[in-house]
Order: sequence, then C-alpha cells, then structure tokens
Amino acid sequence: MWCTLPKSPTRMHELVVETHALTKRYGSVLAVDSLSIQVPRGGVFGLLGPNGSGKTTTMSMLLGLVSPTSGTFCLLGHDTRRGWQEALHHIGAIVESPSFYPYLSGRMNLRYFQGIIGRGDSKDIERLLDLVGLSSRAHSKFSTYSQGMKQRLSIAYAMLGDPDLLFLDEPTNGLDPAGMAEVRELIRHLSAEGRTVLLSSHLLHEVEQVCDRVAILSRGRLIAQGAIRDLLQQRGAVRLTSTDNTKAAAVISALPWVTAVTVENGYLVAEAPPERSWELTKALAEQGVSVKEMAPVQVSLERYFLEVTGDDSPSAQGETS
Amino acid sequence: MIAHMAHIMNLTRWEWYKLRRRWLPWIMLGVLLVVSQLFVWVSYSFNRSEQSGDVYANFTLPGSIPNVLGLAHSIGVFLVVILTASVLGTEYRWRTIRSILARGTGRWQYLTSKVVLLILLAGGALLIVMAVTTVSSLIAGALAGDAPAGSSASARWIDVPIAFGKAWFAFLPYIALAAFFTVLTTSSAAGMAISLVYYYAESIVAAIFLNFLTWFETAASYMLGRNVTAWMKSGDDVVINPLIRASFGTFPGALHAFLVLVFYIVALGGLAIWLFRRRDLTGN
Repeated sequence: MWCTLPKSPTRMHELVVETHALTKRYGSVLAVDSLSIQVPRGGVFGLLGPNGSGKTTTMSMLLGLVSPTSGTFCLLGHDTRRGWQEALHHIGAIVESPSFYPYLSGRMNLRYFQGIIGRGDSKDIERLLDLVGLSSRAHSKFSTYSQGMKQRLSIAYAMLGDPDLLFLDEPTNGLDPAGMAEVRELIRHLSAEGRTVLLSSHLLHEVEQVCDRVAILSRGRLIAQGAIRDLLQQRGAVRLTSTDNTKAAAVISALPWVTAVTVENGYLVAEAPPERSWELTKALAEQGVSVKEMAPVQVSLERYFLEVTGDDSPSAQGETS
Repeated sequence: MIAHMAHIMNLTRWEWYKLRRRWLPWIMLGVLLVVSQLFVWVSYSFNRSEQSGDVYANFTLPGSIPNVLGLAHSIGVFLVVILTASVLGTEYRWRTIRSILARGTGRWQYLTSKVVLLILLAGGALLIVMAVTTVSSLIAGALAGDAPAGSSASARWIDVPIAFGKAWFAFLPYIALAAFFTVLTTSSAAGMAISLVYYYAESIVAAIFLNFLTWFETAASYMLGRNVTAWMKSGDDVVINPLIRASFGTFPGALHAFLVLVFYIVALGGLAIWLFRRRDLTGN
C-alpha cells in the first residue's frame, strides 16, 4: 500500500493529507497537474492560487467528489484504494458555495446532516449554532439567510461530528470585512483546538493572516509549498541608505547573491536574504561607502506570490486574480 | 451487508425528514385522494340516476378498492415520475449532493435510500387511498342501500391485496426510469420531461406501428408501457373490445409482463447507480 501513515496517528508532525502526482484532466484542460503536497497535523494549511488554479478541484478529489485522472493520496492515514471513505467520516468540509435545503431552517439543515453523518446530538447543534452566531436565526429558513449567515452555517456544518480535519474552500467568499474577520478568528480558534484546517483561498492577505503553511498553485501546478515564514525569508530584502547611494547600488548589484536593487523613497532596497546583511555592510565598507541606516524588509506574501507565479497578477485588494 | 442495510435505512429515515417538510408530496397525495374519491362519488351519483351492478361495485366494498387502485396507478405514474425527478434533481440544483457525499456517505447507498423512500411513499400513498376509499365506500354504500336486483357481485376481498401489490409493483419501473433520466441529466426538469415524453412516445409508437407492421407486436411486447398495462390487467376478467384489440394488438401475459418489468427495474436502476457512482460532482 502506498500510504504508510498510521491510521490512528498520535504524533504531532505527521501528515494528515499527502498527495502524490495527483492529476485531473477534463478533456483537453489540465485542471490539476501532478500535484504533490504534504499537510502536517495541526495548524492551518493554505491552498493559495488564483481562480482556476485547481484549488477546488484538488479539494473535490480529496473528498471523493471528483475522481483523479491519475495519482494517489492519503487522508488521515487512509489511501485512495482502500478505506479512504472511512477517513471522510472524520473530515468536515465546505466545498464552494454554501449548499443547504432552502425550505429547511438552519437548525433543521444541521439536524439532517448530523443524522446522515450519524454522530452527535441536539446539544452539539445548539453549541455549533452558538459558536457561529446563528442561534437567534436558527429557526429561519435557509432561503432567508444573508450570504454571511449562509457561510457561517457552512462552517457549523463542517464542524458536525467533531472532525479532526477541516477543508474550507473559500470560507470568506461573499462576506463583508467584519464577517471575514469573524471567520478568520473562528479558523484560528479551530486550529487552537488542535484541528487541522486546510483552507483554500485566492485572498493573499487572508492566507497570510491565518495560515502557518501554504501551497501555492498556478494553472493546476504546485509552485511552492512550506511554512510561510520560511518561504518569505527565502525572498527577503534589505533596505538601506548610505553616504553614496549611487556607488552603493553599483557595489550591491555586483554581489552574486543579490537578485535586484531598487530605489524606493530615497532608500536602496536590495533583494537579498536579511541574514546576509552583514556581508552587504562589509562589501560597502571595503568600497569606502558607509551605511547610515539599514533594516530588513519583510517581503509580503503578495509580492512573493507575484514573483513565484510570474504573470498571475493580484488586484489592489490583494486577491490573486 | 447488514452494515450497508443499516446505513441505507438511516439515510432513508433522514430523506423522509427532509421530504415530509416539502409541499410537493402532500400536494400529490391530495391530488390522488381527490381523483380517487371523485371516482367513488361520481359512480355513486351515476348509480342514483341509472342503477347498474357494475357501477354499484365501483363505489361499494370490496369492488371499489381495486378499481380505485387501478385509477390511482394511472394518475400515480405521472406523480411518481415528478416526485422521483424532483427528489433527485433538487439535490443537484441546490448542490446539496456535494455536501452529503463529502461527509463519507456512500454514493450507491445514498441513491438507493432515495429510491427506497420513493417506493415506500408509493406504497404508503396507495394504502392511504385504500383507507379513505374504504370509508367513503362504506358511506356511499350505506346511502345507496342494497345492490340493484340481478347484479352479480364479482369482486372479492382477496382482490384488494392483489390489486394493491400490482399497483405498487407497477410504480417501480417508472421510479427507476425517472431516477435514471434525472441522474443522467442531473436535472429535475429534464429528468421529468424525458421520462414523461418516453411514456407518451412509447404508447404512440406502439399504436402507430402495431396498425401497420404485424411483426412489431413482438417488439412491442417488450415495451415498458404495454407490460405495465398487461401487468395491471392480469387476472381481470376484462373483455377487450375487438376494435381495441385490432388497434393495440395482444397484450403480453402476466408472467411475461412481470419479467419484463423486473428487467426494466434492474436495468434502469442499475444504470442510474452506475452513472451516479462514476460521475464527477463538480460545482458547475
């Protein structure tokens, strides 16, 4: 069996999701191209990419809604060939837009889904409704809910049965800024409870705020994955001003590990790992240039994303499409 | 296997939780009751103007029940097609099917649970029609008094469960038909429309070709509608008008009809499950 993970994992650093060359093709369109990602237990893992990058298709394959063209994956220690559906009983999911029965109330919808899952009781439903702030409207029909209420009901649905792993596909879609902040807080809360959250989003700032690790997809392909901090450090920069900025720019540009030097508001910005800033200072001093001020620049995820994906440009709101 | 059965029964229970909160099944039951009771009371009023043994049997027990069940089946076919297509198709329209299957609900178990519920509802509706018909027949019989002189009561109580069984079984191929076309098209409206067009087209094709091509009778004997009719008529002492016989040919026997209907149920139901299991559920 390809999947070698234990089925009742107890260690903190094991993988709860692992895909190996996962591929989905719709006719001539390659939606997901040989994707291999590893999601460790605990924390919030972001699947980041523009619309159409394959995030939802990936989640749909993991949830058994879409069959892979090729490749394999493991979910909570169960592989695609046997017992994988058993793993789904321990996974809560929101896939795309909130999907509930419009003629049932929020409470009845949750009661129905709890019934087919076969775990939990009415107290759990009331607790979840309270958690997502829907208790006062729980009796109202789903069709009368606002987009934000629908999204919050989706989160309550995803948490039915007390799952170990949560798949949240664009959970803040359609929410106002306050609603988005609430959902982000809720995701942090879920993670703090020890659950693993796999969050897909095209909102860079959202991912940056709540995720510990990230996999960046573009046109169905994995561009980068790892801890956000590590990824951003790889693309760090140093901002400085000196006694002779023109000469300093020439000296710094000549260093092989500096990828670019730009001028921003009178400062030189050298794209270089911040931990090598002492080497910058040394090189400048050797050429008779004194550094007046120097500070590391934290590269934003947005900038990192632009660099690694090339032509997928984000909008002014920090979206990836 | 027992675990699968328990899972299907649990899913069926929760399907009923949802369905009983919709207007559609109750409206359909109302239509069925109104039409069946109209039959009883129209027969009663005919009997008042012109007394006849056959008419008297239509609104008094036990003869009223098999007659009403036959009528309920004729109307019920449309209703069961609409209900089946709606129950399955709305899951696609509302995208709830993704929410259900994403939680590890087995695909074939889920589809089976829906079909099981529809079968139970069809049986339940017939039982309710029978109960209401029993009450109305008792009242109509009491109002009408004794049977007209010289009429020979041909209906027996044993015909009641037989008529119920025949009508119930004859719903199954239409449930399978509508389930197949709804899963194929992933749409209530399309599933409904294609199933009803199939129902009508088949009878029109049979009527046309049977008049011109004698060899077509063999092909027609495997058509769904003709076998349902043959199955519903089986055991009846119905004298078919020679003119009608000339137009519609000879109907198959009861065993033939039963086997053909079983084939349709298995084939259409199997195809629906096969499609449902293998098809991707994308958000579009």
